[in-house]
Amino acid sequence: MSERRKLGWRRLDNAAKIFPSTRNGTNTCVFRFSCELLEDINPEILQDAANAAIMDFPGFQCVMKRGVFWYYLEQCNLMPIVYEEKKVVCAPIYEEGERKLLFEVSYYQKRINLEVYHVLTDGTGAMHFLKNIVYHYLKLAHKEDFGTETFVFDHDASLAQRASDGFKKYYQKIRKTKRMYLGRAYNINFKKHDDERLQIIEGIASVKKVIEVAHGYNTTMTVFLAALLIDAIHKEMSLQNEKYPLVLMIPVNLRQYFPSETAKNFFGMIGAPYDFKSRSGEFSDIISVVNSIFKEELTTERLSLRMNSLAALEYNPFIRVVPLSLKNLILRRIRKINNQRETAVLSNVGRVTMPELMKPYIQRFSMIASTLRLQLCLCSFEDSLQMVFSSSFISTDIQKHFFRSLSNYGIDVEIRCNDFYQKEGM
Amino acid sequence: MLFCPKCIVSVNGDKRCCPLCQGELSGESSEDVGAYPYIERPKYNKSKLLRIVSFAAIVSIVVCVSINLMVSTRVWWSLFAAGGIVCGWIASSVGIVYKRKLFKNITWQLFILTTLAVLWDWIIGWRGWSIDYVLPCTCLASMLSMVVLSKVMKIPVREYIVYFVLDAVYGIVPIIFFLTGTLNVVYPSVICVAASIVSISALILFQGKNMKEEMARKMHV
Repeated sequence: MSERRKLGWRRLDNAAKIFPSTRNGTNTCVFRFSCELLEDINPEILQDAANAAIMDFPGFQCVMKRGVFWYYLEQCNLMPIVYEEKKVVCAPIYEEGERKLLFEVSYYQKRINLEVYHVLTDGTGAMHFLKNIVYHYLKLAHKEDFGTETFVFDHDASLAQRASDGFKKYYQKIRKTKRMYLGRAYNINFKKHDDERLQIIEGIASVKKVIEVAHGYNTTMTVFLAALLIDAIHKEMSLQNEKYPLVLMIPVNLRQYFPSETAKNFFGMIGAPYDFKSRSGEFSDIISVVNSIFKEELTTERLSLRMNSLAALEYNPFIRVVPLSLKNLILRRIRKINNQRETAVLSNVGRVTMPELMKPYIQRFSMIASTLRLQLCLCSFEDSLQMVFSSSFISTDIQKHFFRSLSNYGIDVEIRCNDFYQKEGM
Repeated sequence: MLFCPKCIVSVNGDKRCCPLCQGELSGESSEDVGAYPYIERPKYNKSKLLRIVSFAAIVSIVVCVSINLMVSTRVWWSLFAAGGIVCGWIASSVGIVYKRKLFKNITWQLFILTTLAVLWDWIIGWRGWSIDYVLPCTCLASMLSMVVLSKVMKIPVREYIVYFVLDAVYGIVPIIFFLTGTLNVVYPSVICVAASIVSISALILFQGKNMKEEMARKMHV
């Protein structure tokens, strides 16, 4: 393989640059996408499927290395090794100096898990990759049904398109950014587990029923669930806590606003603050506030403003020449300040689509993200809505309020959670 | 499936209590395995070794000084012992911190050991053994160990080229002592400088492209 002789490498994209330095406790910067089939997973077929999928996403076949000024990704020929789930959900993937891929494929019963280090890609990129694995898996496992037919994905993209950098494409130097100042936000300060572990509580409900309730409030499902989350957190806030606003951070897939087929990171964060001091705290009022924030913030102009101010940091000549260890210290400091400005995170992956013929084999898709405090991830497939809470707290009261309010609307919810250590609590 | 009457939710798996409110569950569990496997308790011994080494170093220094105080011999031998222990502690903690990065570790050890040797030599009355023997011999040893390790572990040249160059450049330093006439014994230094020059020229002539590419990767801003 003579083309391998010149070793490929690439810079981290703009959003990825902050992740290596910000790993902290339960926030491992790892997120998991999983797909539950209707059949038990065959590890050998899954291995073949993972091998086939990596051929479609050659950019994922790389290791992270430390340079003098920045980390970088180096192309390698390691192959993913499929294993039966045995680690904590979203366990750290990258260890300094270790030479291994930045994603892992595992399985448990009927579920295929893809865990990805955020440096590699964002939710959209990872979802495309998982769908690709599932596609190859089903094709290999059900040769008689699918034969040699190929299916077209809705995210069809060339290799060059996947390798492009969205941030670079849409970056423009801006003179003055009107900085949207977010002050300190309410920080949930429940007791944490003494060892770093993530508590996962997922609720499964019918998409149709939740949408029905949301339409009753004249709003979308995402806004409705965001408001429900704000309300659930509020129930655990003391009057003292209310001096700070509750800020819900919401990652936005920028590909929807700035056409790009990149498989690298291309997302931005918007903040939805709700101030209980100056507002009523009524559920309908929370909905109207979240609704208006979504309308205001989710426009190309607002998002590009945010994106450019973030990128400006990377293009700053002074920051660029600071040695990596010092840079990590600075970025960690910035991250700490930013952490105080958010209460919880809500990620909405949205509706997952698969080729029509494959749908009958798939039960649901879900997403889990590692977090320092509390995060809710939403993902839907057909009529199955997956609402997954990841949290580093012992208390499950916020999750309780959230799911109880859902069931009070007459929505049937199935609860699943992860267990720790055989002999302890079940 | 189990059911929590208070939260009005069904609960997957074989749980003792509701994951949300920790209340009692009703109904029969249909499946005995949950949606997630039981996992092993993660081990958190990231810096345990370092702590053990540090503790051992402190204890031995304290013991030495105490014995010295109790058995008075007029000689403060415990200070030498303490110095030795501190040096050992520095070298081993660097070794632990960089345990995953073999070549970086070797390079660091080279710098640390030679610096400490010069310090010792200077403190206990300059006799020149540190630059006569220690500096050239450790340089040679580290270059040799890099070559051997990379061959044995089949590590590609680009992975250690930067460290090898650093080593070889450091290996030319003894020429200064030779020219200023501070050396008592010249053989080790001459061999070290010669080997370093040969290595560097070999690298530039045969691995120049590799070196340039590695530099571009490591130094990009």
